[in-house]
Amino acid sequence: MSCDTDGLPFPEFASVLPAADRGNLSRLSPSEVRSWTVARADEYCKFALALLAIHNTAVSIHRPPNELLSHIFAHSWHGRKSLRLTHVCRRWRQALLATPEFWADAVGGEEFCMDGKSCTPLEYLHSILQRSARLPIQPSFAHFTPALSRTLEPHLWRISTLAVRTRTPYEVAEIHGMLRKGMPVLAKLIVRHELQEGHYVREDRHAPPEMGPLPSHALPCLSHAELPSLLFFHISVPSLRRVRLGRGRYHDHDNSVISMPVAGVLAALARCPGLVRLELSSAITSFPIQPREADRAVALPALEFFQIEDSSSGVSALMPHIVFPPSTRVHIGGTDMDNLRPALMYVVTADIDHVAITVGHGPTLMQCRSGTEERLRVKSHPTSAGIQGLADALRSKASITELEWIRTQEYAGETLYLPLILCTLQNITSLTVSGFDADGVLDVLKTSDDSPPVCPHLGRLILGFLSSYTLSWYFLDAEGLPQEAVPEATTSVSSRCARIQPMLEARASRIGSRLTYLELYEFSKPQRGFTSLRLVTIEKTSPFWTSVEPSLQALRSLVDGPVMFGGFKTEINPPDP
Amino acid sequence: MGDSNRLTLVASDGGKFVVDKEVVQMSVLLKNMIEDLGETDESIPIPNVTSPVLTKVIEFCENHRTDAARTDGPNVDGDDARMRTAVVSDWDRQFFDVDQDLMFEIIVAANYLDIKSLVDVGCKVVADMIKGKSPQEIRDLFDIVNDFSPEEEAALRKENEWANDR
Repeated sequence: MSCDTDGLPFPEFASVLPAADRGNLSRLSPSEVRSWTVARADEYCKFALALLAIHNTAVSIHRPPNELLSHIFAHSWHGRKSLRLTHVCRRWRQALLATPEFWADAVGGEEFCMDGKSCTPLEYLHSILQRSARLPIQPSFAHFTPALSRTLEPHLWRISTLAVRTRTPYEVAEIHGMLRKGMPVLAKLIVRHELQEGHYVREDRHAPPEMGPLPSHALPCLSHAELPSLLFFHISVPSLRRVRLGRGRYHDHDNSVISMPVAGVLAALARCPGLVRLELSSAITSFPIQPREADRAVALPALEFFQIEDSSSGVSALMPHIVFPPSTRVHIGGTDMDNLRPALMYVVTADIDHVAITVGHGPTLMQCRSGTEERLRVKSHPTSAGIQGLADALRSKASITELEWIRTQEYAGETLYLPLILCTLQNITSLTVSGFDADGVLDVLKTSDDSPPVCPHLGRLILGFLSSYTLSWYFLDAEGLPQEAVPEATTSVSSRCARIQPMLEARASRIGSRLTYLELYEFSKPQRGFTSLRLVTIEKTSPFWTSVEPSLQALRSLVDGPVMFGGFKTEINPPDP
Repeated sequence: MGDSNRLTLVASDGGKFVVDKEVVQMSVLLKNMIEDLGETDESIPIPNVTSPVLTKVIEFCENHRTDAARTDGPNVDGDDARMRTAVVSDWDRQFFDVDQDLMFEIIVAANYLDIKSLVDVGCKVVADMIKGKSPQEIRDLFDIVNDFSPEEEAALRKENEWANDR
């Protein structure tokens, strides 16, 4: 095929040009060619881009109108790399800039660090804030600086959730200054004060920065707050429903400048009568721990859940000043039980009828229920004085009919705890004891001639004996399936029955008390790493049952109801994930 | 007089579909039309929707007929936020496992018929296709070409330099 190049001196290039361009070029001087070609090339570039844009209008994803493309982008934020969606083509850039939901997700999609090496540029924050237009936003920050406060100021009216991790009291004060300006839709405010261990800031050792009360209606919608108690003192508002107060991750004296004494916490709570949930974690300063005489009790009539974790003296100083309904679920966590008695005397209510106490690794767990509803949970390291305080509170304020006692750790002194409780709670009709105390409780229940009867109304007794050997070693084969019981098992159950029998006889003869239900079982102590027990079933046709039956039969004559051996329970590995 | 609980929809290519009124009432457009027409045997033309697309739309509505009451109500505060965070079900994802032309035609038809849940699911499925992909991967996926000039591209890269921060 021949090419018409119009005699131009650059035939290999001229051949691709349209005839009109070749005609124009042939009449130009070299300097005119230079300027004409540059202008024409620019024109062709624009032409090419226009053609590409036209191509893009015909692709299937561009069939929907822009509003639908925006709808797609409203779901498309996937981290900061999503900003590159604006690079795909012109239409995407236009549609993305007109999709405030995308930018609102950019604002709420990460925690912006505002200090240090990985500090977020304020220009970026400013840019996405602007593009999120009028939508509600939920930003999170690590550190709060005056510059950040200024950047946020034009958007305060649409921040619905704000989360900040602070390091110094001055950051807390900066947040307070921002709140003072008014945030009309702020519903959730989280300020976590996280002083880094070994990174004490000088200012923390000084007096806390000055903060004053907020103007009325500054936070009309605030319903959920997680704050240092110092900030709570200054911003507590009637709209609050859920409050969590904490001192921070490390409880150090330097950190106490953002906490409040009991009187301050009470004053702040008095401004929130609609609270439904209140949680305090090391939120009270050590001094002065006691509220002044003039501090009145605070009524929280809507409170459904109250949790406090603090020193037991702090717990006992605060709790008697808060009045809540008897149906409120209360969780108490203290370092020790010694000083918890005032708090327990206050929270134990008349309708509590069931107590479960678990002594194992870590703090002791005590759960008090009314029927099936948990009312009080106490997690603390027990002492004799503490157990006595608990027993006193339960005896004088409630009528406990059911007690569950589980002890899987053996420490000196703890053998005394259960007898102490049992001798106090005389109305118990149902008792479950498992672990280290299952054998010892038999001596307590036997009652001696020279002491008052123990649990004279007891009808139902369940005893879980801790085996001295590893059950799985005896009863499970290599595949973990039950196998025939070994003779040691028969011997063990028979000896348990032999220990129980004198107790039943003594109670019947000394206090005329007979059980209506008796169950015993054997279990091996769960090892660390094992999470649950399972029952090893021994076939009913096995010689085991024939051999233990006489022992059980001896007990049946002393019980006005069923006597059962519940089997062998052994630890199992947690299921594979 | 035909079954008063059913009506006939006529697609743009003449295809006829007899469907339960309850099913098509997920479409706000059709619901309003049915209320305006009252009891009638007349079929309803859907001029902007072809038979293959209408088949899929009806399939979606039939599958979601039980949750129509939930999605059909007035838009209350928080509805949009809830819709944005709702997860696309396996059935919905399978429903949109079709070629791109049909997928976007379904979304356009749903928008025209005002079936909010179908629009929302469709947009979420497309959004999931986009997430985590580079601009070039997205262009390749949807046959889009780069129509920015080099200068514009340079400006964009500068504007979005923060995209590389994370």
